[in-house]
Amino acid sequence: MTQPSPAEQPSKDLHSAIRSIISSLLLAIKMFSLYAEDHSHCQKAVDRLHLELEDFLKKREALVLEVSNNQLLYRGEVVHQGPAKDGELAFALFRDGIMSLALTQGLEREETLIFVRILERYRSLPTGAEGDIVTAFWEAELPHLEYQAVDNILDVDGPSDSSDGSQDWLRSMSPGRGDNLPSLEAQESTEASQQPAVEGARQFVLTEPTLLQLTAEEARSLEEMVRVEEERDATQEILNMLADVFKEQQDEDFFSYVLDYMVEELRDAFGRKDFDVSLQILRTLNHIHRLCREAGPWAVARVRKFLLRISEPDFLNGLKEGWATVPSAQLAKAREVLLFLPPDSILQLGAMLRDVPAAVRTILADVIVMLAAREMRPFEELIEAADENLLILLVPLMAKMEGERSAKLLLKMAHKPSEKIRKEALKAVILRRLWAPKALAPLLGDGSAYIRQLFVRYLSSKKNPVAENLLIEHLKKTKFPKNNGDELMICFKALGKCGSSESISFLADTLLKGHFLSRFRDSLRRRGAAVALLGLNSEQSRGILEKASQSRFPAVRNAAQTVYRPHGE
Amino acid sequence: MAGGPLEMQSTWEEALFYDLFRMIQSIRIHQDNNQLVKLCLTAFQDTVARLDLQTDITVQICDGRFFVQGEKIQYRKELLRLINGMLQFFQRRALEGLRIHPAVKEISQDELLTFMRLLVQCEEKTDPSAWLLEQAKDERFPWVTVLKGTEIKRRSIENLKEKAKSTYFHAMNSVRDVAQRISYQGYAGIRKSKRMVQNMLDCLAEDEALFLCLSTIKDYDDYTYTHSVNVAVLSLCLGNRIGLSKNSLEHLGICGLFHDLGKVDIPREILTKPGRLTEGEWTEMRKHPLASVRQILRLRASHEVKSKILLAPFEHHVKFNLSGYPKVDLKKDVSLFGRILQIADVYDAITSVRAYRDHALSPDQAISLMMEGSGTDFDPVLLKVFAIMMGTYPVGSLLELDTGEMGVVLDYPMQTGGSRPRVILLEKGEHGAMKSAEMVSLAEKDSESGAYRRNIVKSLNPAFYGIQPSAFILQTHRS
Repeated sequence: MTQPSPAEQPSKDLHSAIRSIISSLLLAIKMFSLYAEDHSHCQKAVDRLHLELEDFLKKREALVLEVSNNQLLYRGEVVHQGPAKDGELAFALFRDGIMSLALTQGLEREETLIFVRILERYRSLPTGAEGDIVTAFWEAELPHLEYQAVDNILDVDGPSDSSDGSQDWLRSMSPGRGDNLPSLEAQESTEASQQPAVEGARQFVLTEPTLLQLTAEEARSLEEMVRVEEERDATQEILNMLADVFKEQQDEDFFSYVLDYMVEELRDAFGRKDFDVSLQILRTLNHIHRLCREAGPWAVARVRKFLLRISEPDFLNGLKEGWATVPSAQLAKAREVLLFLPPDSILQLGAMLRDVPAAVRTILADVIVMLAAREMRPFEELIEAADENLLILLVPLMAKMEGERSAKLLLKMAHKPSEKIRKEALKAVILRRLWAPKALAPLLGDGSAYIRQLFVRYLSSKKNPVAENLLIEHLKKTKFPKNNGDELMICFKALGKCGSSESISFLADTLLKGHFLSRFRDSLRRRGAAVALLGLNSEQSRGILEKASQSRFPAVRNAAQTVYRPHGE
Repeated sequence: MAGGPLEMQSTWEEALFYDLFRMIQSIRIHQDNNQLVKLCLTAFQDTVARLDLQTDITVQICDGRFFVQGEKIQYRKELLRLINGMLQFFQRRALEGLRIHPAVKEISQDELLTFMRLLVQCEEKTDPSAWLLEQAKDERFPWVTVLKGTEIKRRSIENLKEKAKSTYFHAMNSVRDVAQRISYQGYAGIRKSKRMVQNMLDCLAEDEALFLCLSTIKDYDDYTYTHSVNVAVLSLCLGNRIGLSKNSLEHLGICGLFHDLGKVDIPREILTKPGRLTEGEWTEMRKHPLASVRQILRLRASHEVKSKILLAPFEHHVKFNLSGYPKVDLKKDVSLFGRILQIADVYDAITSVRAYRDHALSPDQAISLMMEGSGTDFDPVLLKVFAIMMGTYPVGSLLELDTGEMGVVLDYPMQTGGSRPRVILLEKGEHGAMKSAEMVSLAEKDSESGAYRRNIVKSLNPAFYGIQPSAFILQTHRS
């Protein structure tokens, strides 16, 4: 531990400088607990602390602080005091067995930042904490931080039932006890027989280690095995091992620990977008699932719980970001991985559709459809909760779905107030060849011309009396504005396609009859009826057209003749 | 041996620094004729040749930072261990650095090795830098200038021993604590164990021989816990020898401590049964690696740590040729940690007295026996490194001398070439227990005949004499 220069006399200024440093340290710790580390408040707090430390260390070798349970002292003088309780700086240092710590000359800003980060992270220790301030200092290897710590740390886990037997043992340990001397008689043991044979009376050909030398090749292989170890990902080996262990130890407790482990492993892999590893994990789970069917209902229930766990929002949130850098080969893997998820995850996957790139959206959509095929309920819940923007993305997925529930849902979507949603719904209906003209009938009067016309085309897609009646009624009742002749013609054309002999009388009346004078004026309706009759293409319809083409009324005659003329003539 | 890939260097300063570190590390560990030493010397000379020096190069510590030719070596994560290792190396020798002159291009590998060997050895001297300067006087090494620094306070050997002893027993206690917590409350934290492993690594960094000697501590009554710590000690030493990173060593140490955690599940009657185990008992016994996995999963440790410490305890009874137990379909070889643990585990087991086997092998016998299983039971390269590390008579070996005396190996001072140890002679005390007498060097020669005063006849089994060699060593003042 570096000590301050003996010549240096503590002075009021000195102590106030140290108090100011500690205030800045406390402030920085507080900022780190309130904001993300890259937040300007945190950065400013570290800058300020570091400047003060630098200033202090310009004149002195080190800032050495001694630690008690509620105080920090500089050369015996209290420079910081706080209650001896969890979360307090002095107490946290004391709790972890730190007797003194010193920041030395040359301290860099990065070190100051890490120092603050460690103190903030370990100020409070939860039960069963894996590390503490001392382990973190050790791992950080800050070159300008020195500390002295004892090993008798306070136990955050509470007392165990163990007495400190080793200390008794240490006290009683004598170099040569001379009692209970074991005899040298050889006894075989089963365990020993599994290891190299140990024979008491055996004569060994002693190896002379000083004669052992690593060859160049061995030295290289050693370097290589170290390199491989440092870089390796043992996930698959661990998973295989867990499956092996499970084969041997099929009990509920153990199984739940294995699954807990796998959840975390999967969370990490999702966070990294490492779908190779994710796939390995889920395949292993599948394998274990098969094994555990024999183990009993508890195992199946545990697996179900696991699946629910991995479909929760906090779990799948890891998938939200970071797709931009995922290579395309991994995207195919991602699809395979996501298909392992339970249908409940539809709620989370659906919500992600908005935030991901197009290629990923395609995969998610595909997965959602497949999962909904296994269970529709989560998709229905998602639709129920979705806003307009999300519905616009979700409704098209129903085009790829099958079954009554999705059809019902889709038809419901066709009546949503949002024009965009209705449009998507109708497109989906057409794509999946869902035939429900009656349910969609109101679309004939939809405010959107696009939707109306699309629906008419839908009605024209097959001969059908419902569609036929709908169109006849629509044509009878609707007054098409003069500037909307196209739509009228589309309706007649559609009737020609979906209609039957039932339409003949309506069409014949429309073509041939009417007010006397009107039969001298060209009319869209008359022409439409002629088009529809042509579309019907029956003997009766052709007969009417024939008759119309010889009519003495020019408008009737023209309407009938026009449909026979080649386009554009 | 370096702890990381070569790609870690991004500038020529870092490359030179890296080669220097590698050269020092290999010379610290291996003898002069070792292939790795030669490779490292060649690598350094190649780098120097590539640089085509026209002026001096200074490698120097300033304000706790390393500078090469005035350029600060940046504290990048992958260089941390290397920089800290070098800082410690130079500071413990009270050196500020080295100035390498262009003449370095002309020197032979032998000359480079001679200087580097002196640089390594000077740590043992009272005033290392003065001694080194003395060795280098009269332009013996015209291609290098030693820059003297201020000596940092070195922990005294007594402090070191205290620290080592206390770490050992705290580590043992932490394993016991974890085992008992798991038994009683179903879970346990690893904070204490982690701290102990870190302390163990500090001890290892300060004095490998002393740290290794801790593994000679044996406790018949508390075998499982002493064995766990011994396996951790031996594994850490072996891991350190082969150049594992600090982070990996930390995980390896935890593996060592917890590798037999599964024995908590095995009935004590089986563990301590004096005679042969029945087939059923043996089946139960063979489950302990699986049970260790089960217990490790119950530890309150981060997922990251668990994923590093699960596999090796599972594999520590799977042999190099994949025989052994548990019987599993390993698609790959046993992991490096698993192979290290296996060597450490077997070595400690066969050098310990057990309930079912009241004799134990001496260290040299154990190594010889294990060498028979090289390539089948054990990774041959790792076992070789282990054997080299342990030496003919490892620190803590009990020896019979040709004078009829008995002694415990204390260390192998470099002054005597490292081949003849210093030994703590033992004598019988009042109640028949052995006690330490004087410390002698086996390098001492008779002034008249020129022959060595004492020679080793053979190693003895400490358990047979009821001796804890480590206790003698930890109580003896080394000077």
